[in-house]
Amino acid sequence: MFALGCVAVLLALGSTAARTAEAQSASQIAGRVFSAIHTTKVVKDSIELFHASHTIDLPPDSATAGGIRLRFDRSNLGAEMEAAMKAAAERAWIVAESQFGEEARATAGSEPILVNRVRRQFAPLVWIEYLELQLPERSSRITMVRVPMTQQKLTDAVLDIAGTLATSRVPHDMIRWLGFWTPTRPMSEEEWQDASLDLATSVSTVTKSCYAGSLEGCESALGLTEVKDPLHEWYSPDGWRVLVSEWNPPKADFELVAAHDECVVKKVAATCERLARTRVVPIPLNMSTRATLYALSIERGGPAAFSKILQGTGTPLQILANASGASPNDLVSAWRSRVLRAAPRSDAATPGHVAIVLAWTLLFGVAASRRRP
Amino acid sequence: MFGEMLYTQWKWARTELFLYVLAAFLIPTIMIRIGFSYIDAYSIRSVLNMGAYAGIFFCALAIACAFGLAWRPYINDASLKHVGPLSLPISWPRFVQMRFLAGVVLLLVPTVAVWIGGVIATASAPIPPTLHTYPGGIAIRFFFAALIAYAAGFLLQYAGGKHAVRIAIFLFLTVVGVELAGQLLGYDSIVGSTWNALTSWPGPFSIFGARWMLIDV
Repeated sequence: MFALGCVAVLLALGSTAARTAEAQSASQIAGRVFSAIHTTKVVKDSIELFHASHTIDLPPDSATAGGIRLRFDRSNLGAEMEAAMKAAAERAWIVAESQFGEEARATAGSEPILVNRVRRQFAPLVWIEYLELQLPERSSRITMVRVPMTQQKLTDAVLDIAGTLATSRVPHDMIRWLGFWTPTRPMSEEEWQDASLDLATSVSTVTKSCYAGSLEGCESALGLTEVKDPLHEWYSPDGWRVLVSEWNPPKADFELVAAHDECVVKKVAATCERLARTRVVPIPLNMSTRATLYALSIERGGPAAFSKILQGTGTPLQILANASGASPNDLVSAWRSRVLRAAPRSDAATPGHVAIVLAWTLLFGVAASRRRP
Repeated sequence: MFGEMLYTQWKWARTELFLYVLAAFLIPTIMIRIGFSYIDAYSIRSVLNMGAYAGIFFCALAIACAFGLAWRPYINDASLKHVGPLSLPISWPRFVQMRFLAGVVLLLVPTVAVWIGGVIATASAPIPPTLHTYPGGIAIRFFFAALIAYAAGFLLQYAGGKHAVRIAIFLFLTVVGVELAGQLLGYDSIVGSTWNALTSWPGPFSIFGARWMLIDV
């Protein structure tokens, strides 16, 4: 009966005539704009209020570790998590000091980090738990740590927040070159290895010349030189074809499909160039690879390096070279050598692998002979 | 006595060894030939992926041939209720050790095939100048990976006896159950972290976690 009633109401609504469109007067438009602005302000104020209440609830400085200040509610966090959080902040502080040197306190310690433990019901009898770390600033992002909350994950989360603080202080050109993120820890061997793979597998001509030994090529591949026409300066006609082959045109666009085939299959350079220009030309080496040059500069420059970057003027290469205490060419040359050295080794099993395999094989073999059928 | 045992195991395993050798010779070459016909050889990342697929195949072949060689002798012995081995004038542990060693020697056959297969496969494709081929490296990895997988399979079979298959299924179901429960309770992947522990230093299967690339930088 209820369903029939609903159908009847829907039919009645459907049969009524639609409202006719009519032009709006200037006063109507103005009224609507003011109303929209008012609504936006109300929403903005409510978010600020929510955020402020979030912050006011927490004691000013619940704990400090080195220069890092934490704010949390003890009853919310619990004694065990509080200890883990402090230990993580201490570890993070050591790493932050190694990266920011003299500026560590003014960077990682400039704002307190709000820590909140959240427990939510996901389904009946199923609860999920996580930790939220954020800055008091309204627009800051939240870093979440899921269970199991290991020391490593907590330390990484604190460093993540420290990275946000550092990023806001770095000169604009520099941070734009770095992809709007400042690394907060020394690069791991895996990250150097990834940079090495990036260098060896990029189809860009400048990257290939960098691989072969040209420092100008390396500077261009890292985006450290002025580029007027990236498609021509970074890529060859073969490269244009690879760029085009990396995307597929919509099947309904027959003209584009034909042009795509003409480029990829028939290898017509002019078509490839035309199609490659319809998309953003990818940078020869990715942002993570750029970050390795930054990390090398910090590593070579010591405790004063980050301070020099903050005060630096000129191009990103000049700033990084100044911070590292080397000439631009020396820095890029050292970077190239380091990246090539980090190339992953597929040539043979390492002695460590061989030793561990033999040890476990012996153990398994002996264990297998213990039981009679 | 070891020679006779090796000969017996060779007779039991020669058909499947022939298949492993054939696979090691042909499949990487076919994969690379077909793969190169679909990709642009100028696209280095695509070439690298082809090398990775060939590497994954060798990795899978190592596991298949290791488990085949580990289980076959026990199943044959068990079909006669182990009368032969138990009537020999040597102790059971000594017998098992000789069976184990004979299997290890037989692993050398597919290893040589992997090396030759890798050489043929990489010789048949244009490799970009920033990349290199590693058929020898892959063959060495193959041997050690097959060795540890063989030892694990051998342990499961000889320690589990006739219940080996049931134990393997139980282990598999436990892994799936623990992972599902962990995910439901909002935990990070437990299986993932266990897998990482087993396949990274000093886990027994760390050789499987290394780069298996026939073509690499």
